[in-house]
Amino acid sequence: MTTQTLNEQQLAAAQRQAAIARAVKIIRRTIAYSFMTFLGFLFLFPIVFMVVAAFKPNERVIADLASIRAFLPNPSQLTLENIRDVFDSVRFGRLAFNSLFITLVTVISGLFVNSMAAFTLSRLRWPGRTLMLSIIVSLIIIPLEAIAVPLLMQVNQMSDAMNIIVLALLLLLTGLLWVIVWSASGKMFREWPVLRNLPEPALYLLQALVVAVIALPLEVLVYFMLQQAQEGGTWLNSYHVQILPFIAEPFSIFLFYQFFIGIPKDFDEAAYVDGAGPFRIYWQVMVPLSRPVFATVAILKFLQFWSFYLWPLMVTRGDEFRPLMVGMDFFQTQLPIRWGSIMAYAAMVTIPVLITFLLFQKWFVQSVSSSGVKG
Amino acid sequence: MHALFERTFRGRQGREFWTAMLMGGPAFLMLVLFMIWPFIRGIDLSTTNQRFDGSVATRLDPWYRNFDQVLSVNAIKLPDLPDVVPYRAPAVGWYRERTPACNQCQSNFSCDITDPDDAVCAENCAQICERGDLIFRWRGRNLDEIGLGEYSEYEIARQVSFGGNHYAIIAKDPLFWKGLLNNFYFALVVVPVQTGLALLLAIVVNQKLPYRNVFRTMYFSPVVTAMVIIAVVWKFLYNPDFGLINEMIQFVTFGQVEGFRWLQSPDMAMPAIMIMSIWQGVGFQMIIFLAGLQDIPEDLYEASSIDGANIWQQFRFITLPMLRNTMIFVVLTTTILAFRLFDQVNVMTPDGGPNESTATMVWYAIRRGWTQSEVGYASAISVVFVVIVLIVSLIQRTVVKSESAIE
Repeated sequence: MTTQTLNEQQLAAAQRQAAIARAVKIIRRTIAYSFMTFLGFLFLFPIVFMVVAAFKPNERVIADLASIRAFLPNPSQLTLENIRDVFDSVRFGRLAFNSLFITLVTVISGLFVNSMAAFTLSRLRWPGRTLMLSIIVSLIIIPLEAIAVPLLMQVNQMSDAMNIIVLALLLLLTGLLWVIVWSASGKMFREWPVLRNLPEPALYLLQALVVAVIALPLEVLVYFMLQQAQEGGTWLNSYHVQILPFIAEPFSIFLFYQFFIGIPKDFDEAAYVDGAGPFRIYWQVMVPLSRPVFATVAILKFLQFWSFYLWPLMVTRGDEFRPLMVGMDFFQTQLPIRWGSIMAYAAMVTIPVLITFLLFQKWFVQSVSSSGVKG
Repeated sequence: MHALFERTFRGRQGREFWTAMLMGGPAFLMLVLFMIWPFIRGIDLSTTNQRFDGSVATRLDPWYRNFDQVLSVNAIKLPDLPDVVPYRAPAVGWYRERTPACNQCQSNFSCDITDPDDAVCAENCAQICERGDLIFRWRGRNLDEIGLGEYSEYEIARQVSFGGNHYAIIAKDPLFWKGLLNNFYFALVVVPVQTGLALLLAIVVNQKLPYRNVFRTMYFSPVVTAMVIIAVVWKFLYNPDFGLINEMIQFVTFGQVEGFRWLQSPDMAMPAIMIMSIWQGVGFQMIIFLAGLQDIPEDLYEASSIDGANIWQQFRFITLPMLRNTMIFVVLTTTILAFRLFDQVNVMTPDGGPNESTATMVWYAIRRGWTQSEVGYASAISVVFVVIVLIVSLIQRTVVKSESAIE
């Protein structure tokens, strides 16, 4: 009898404790979530405000500021007027194309050029290698802003010899990429069940097509430089002046290098024993094994060149070659300032990148954590 | 020599050398063409009076004249105050600024200082007028008259009063020094705050809570917005009259704080830019810290909690030491970014802000070199800028190294 009551008491005490623990957990979570939500509000309110304001008539943008309405769209007043105004005032499509084109060509050719350089630094033995490595590491500190003015002088008066050297470099790179992709894809093509039954010439044609598409960024640059070499003179107001100086970049080389030296040498030695040369080892061993660092460098450089401002501002006139960031200046110089249109422009630039990021965000966090950016 | 040549360029090693040149050469050559060469060219240009319009430049005599102009700074004692400080600015020397209040009371008819009947009013007026700032009129060609002729190329950067004496820090190019100080101000505030905040955010979103990914995404989203674009949005938010930020400050403080004039006020313009920069950049550091946090083995925390360590001790003795490398990386990169400050400044305060309070070194170099097309002078500023960035990172690296030596 006594033991039973005691047990009941114990049970009650245990239940009470469990209830307290649950309550503590709930309270703790509530605090954590409210803190996190508060922080989330701080980070999101300018973006939310921007998007909402983009769909408001100009006068409402300022009128709504004093209240919560700044963040709330008013269904009866939603308007596409601002977006129409953006398209009427600037060649938004052209600017967007310029931005995307410049960014993609810079990022893709940068991935290829920088990873190859890192490959020679981490996998091949040649005199001057350590010196080159230390030069590259020390170049990381030199910011573009510090060389912007002399670089501007240089691209303004490119000598013919310089043009030829750059053109030759690009031709070399394009040829290299062709050879690498061609030699690596030949076997792969013949192993695919779908393609195996195709006649030999068709296979070659297809292979050539794939090679040409992969090397497209470099081919486009070759085309620009061919024209430039013919015309001579200034590089200002062109696409390549916004691309070529930034393809090779010390920080990317360093990131690739750091990742490559972490890959065990056994992999490429096995490939070497199988008769693979450095090209094959690079393309078929190193590149597939280093996807995280490729992703990280691609994202970092994309963000950097998508929001690139100083250099395009200096080297472009008019909207022919200008990217979106510089195009925005138009709305700031026009009086009276049309805040609705500015917000619409900002939203139209920001939202696509934001959505892309949302789609890939989990993957992005993973790639940063496994690529060793953390130093 | 011949053997070395043979070894380097022939045979298996030779093949490796040529492959390396083929694969790495383009990148190295591009770095030389577009980074190293412009940098060397910049050093060369910094000793000339090159302009962007293509006119022929000449080497300066002496070659360091641009650097002299950029870097010359001096502290001098200003002449003593005269017994009666005039309200009208002399050719050179002290005067007292006429404040609007002073002007008003003096122009007021009933308060004529010469009228003895109105003595009280006159006294009040004199007191009001004496609140005007003491200013030293500094004009190069008149400096000889007061024995400061050797400083005729200088301008006053800042005035300090000390024990009844007046001193001035003078520089040949005060705007450069202002930019330099602003850069250090920005770096000294933003680097610690941003790093600390990023660590806090990383710890917050590293908790094992449902939906933490949602919050991680929220905190990161400013990073993917372009700085130039978002700076324009913030410029609007900072508007002193109808800006959202002032409205929110008033709401939170129940109207006790009126808000600030942000970009229009010399004191608040730089903090405004700092806040926005931290808001935009902190998410990226958060991700890097998050990666570092996830590398810390879970057993360390378990073992320490069995030993009775509390959360603070765990943070202090496990999290922080394990994050050391990440921390170093974040601090080094954020510092360099802080010195590169340009985009936000140029968008939010194109003219350098009130009293040039948001001018930075890069902003100034671009303004001289591009807007005013003084390429030679801007190159000199750029060279000094690189040297400063170099010194700062060397100091940081030495500190990091000596710390690890102690451990």
